[in-house]
Amino acid sequence: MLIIKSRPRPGIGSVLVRFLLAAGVLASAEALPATPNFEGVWLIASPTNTLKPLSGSIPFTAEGQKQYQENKRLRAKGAFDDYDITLSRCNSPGTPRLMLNSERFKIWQRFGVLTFDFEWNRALRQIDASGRPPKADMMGQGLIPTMTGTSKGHWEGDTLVAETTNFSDRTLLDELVPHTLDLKVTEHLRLLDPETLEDRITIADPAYFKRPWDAAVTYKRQPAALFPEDVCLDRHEAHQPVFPPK
Amino acid sequence: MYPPNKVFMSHLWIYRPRQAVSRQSSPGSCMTHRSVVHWLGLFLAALAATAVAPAFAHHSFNAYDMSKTETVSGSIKEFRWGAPHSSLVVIYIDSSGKQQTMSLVSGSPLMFSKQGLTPRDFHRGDKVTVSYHPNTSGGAGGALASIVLPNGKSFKDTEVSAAAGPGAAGAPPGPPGQ
Amino acid sequence: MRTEFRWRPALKGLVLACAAVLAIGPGSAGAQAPPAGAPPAPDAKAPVYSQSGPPPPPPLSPVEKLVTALPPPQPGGGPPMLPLAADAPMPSADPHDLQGTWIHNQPLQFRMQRDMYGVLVPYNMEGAKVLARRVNSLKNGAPFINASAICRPPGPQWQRDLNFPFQIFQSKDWIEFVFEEYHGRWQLILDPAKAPRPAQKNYMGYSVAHWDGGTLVVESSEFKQPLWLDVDGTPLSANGKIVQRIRKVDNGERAPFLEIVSTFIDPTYYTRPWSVVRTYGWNPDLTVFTEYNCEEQIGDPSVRADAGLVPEPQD
Repeated sequence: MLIIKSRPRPGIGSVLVRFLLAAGVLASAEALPATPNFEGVWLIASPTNTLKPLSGSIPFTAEGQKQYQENKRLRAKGAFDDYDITLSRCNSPGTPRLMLNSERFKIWQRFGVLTFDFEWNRALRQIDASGRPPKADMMGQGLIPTMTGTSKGHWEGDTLVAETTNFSDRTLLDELVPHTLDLKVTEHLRLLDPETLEDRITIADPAYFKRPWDAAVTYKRQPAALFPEDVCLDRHEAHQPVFPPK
Repeated sequence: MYPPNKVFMSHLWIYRPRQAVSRQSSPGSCMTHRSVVHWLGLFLAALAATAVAPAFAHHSFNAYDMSKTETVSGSIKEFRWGAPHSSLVVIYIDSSGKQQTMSLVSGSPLMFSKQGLTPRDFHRGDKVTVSYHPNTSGGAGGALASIVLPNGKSFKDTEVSAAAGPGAAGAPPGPPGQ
Repeated sequence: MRTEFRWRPALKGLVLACAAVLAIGPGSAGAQAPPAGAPPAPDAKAPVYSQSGPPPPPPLSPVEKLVTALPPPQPGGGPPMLPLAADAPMPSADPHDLQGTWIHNQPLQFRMQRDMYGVLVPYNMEGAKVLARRVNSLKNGAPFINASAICRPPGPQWQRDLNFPFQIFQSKDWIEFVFEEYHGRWQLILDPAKAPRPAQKNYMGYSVAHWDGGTLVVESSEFKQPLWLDVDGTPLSANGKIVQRIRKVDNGERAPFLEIVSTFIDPTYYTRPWSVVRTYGWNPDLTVFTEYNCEEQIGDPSVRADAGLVPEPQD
């Protein structure tokens, strides 16, 4: 029976149980509690449109800097469809930009798969931490680069480590920073406390960044809620902002 | 045009069941049939009335005049990978000298990968030459027949070739027996 | 669920049934045999057959003629339903827990021509005309706009019926379906006090649910726009209502499924309510969805917002 708990189990429990198992105190593998539970409704603690490096500035290569400046130029011109098709078309912001969204999202954790369901445009992303082989791919679906990429995760104690690849190059990391098809995003997700979720994001894309760089975003737990039906294309057609102002 | 990411296409997939019969040998026993559904990866193309019209097809390639092939040189605006269909938007200069865009539909990523093509082969701004079967509606665009890329690689849409086969203009290439 | 169909015993049964009917034909001696020499007493209740066999069906009504004369719908396919792995998790034993990953596992019906009893869908002339116009719009190469074609939520019936997976999550106050296709969402409200009506109408309508024993009864109404119930455009007006009866079935074959009976209540287009039934197989392996991002194409500002389709006339 899957019950949505309003409070997650503390991560220390799983660490303790593993210790006790190793020490021979706990007899059975079934005694292992579930991995940490991130389920709930979350909201970014400090809304931002930019993915800020934890230290220093973004280590652009010459090529990356050039494309970044080009995006700035296009933004100033209002040529949004030439560099940010989220703003011009409601295209999925993808990974990691969805994690900067100023509206709420839900995390569901079932069969080892985390599903992130966003209030904004009912957008979805998932992290597959099930360890199961991918489903049969009859038509080469796996060859299609996607906005959210393909995310594989595994648990290290209380932290979900997720690596995402196979990105479309039609997204931005945030409102301006470009990336290529070779982008790799590594996330370390963990609960700082029962009310706070942290996503430590590592960006690697050798064509545009001299070395991988880290950013971190935190989210605060929100009361259970049903999200209103948001259809970005309707708002866009009505000449409203793609990202509603807070 | 075929929308990518199986927007409207997926529900038009036809799965063709192939019956594999197993007979029990003992006399007097009932014959049992066990159906094994084999996926033949047959697609029914969405037909489009205009250059960007995802719709619901009753027949493959009906929206395109398979007896005509047109060629245009232009540059890639975007290439949208999708299964079962990908699509390409090409910027070209029309007969009156004006810059226009046209949408061309094509096949699945498998078809491209079989011919050695990956997403990395398609860049915005690449100068390309495309041949296609135009929309019957007359709107710009149609079903991609072939494309030549600046890196010398080329691609030929094998489903379109099969549909356009000698004298097969307008014939719906649905799965036989249906 | 795919079941094995045993042809031989079925044929045998049919032959026996036919034989029984023929054996019992009119005039066979029975307890009510009339006195010898007298003609059989007429029985006002018994139908009079001029020959053996049932009476011919009544002629088609004008509505039925219109609908049955339309070009037939495409045959639909369904996803290959492979057996679950031996160690695959199974659904909760609690009938009130529908959570998990499910997928419509029967061939897609492009057009619901008959209800779940095999009876012709009870169109009125208005409904028949709308269907005919939609079907012919495709044939004529000028297909009508519908929600799916322009990357909008298509309503609960179409959303469920596509052969793509969805997950169900539930709490005591509501149940949420999250679909791969259209990155769709369907919210069923168990406690309306906790989830007031939305400020504006939703494409997916407003759905209130309650448990009737082991069956979840969901009433969906207040749709933002008229629905296409299927690919060919079986209509439901914006004022129409769908009652869905959902139950979880586990017949012990390690192939559990949800059964959803949908009853369409729409006097605008139909002479009476009518129902269809669908099954959705359990499959946790389909929990990882394929990304669905129709906005990339439909939102393209260099193409028309109506995706090149034709607006449907509103009568």
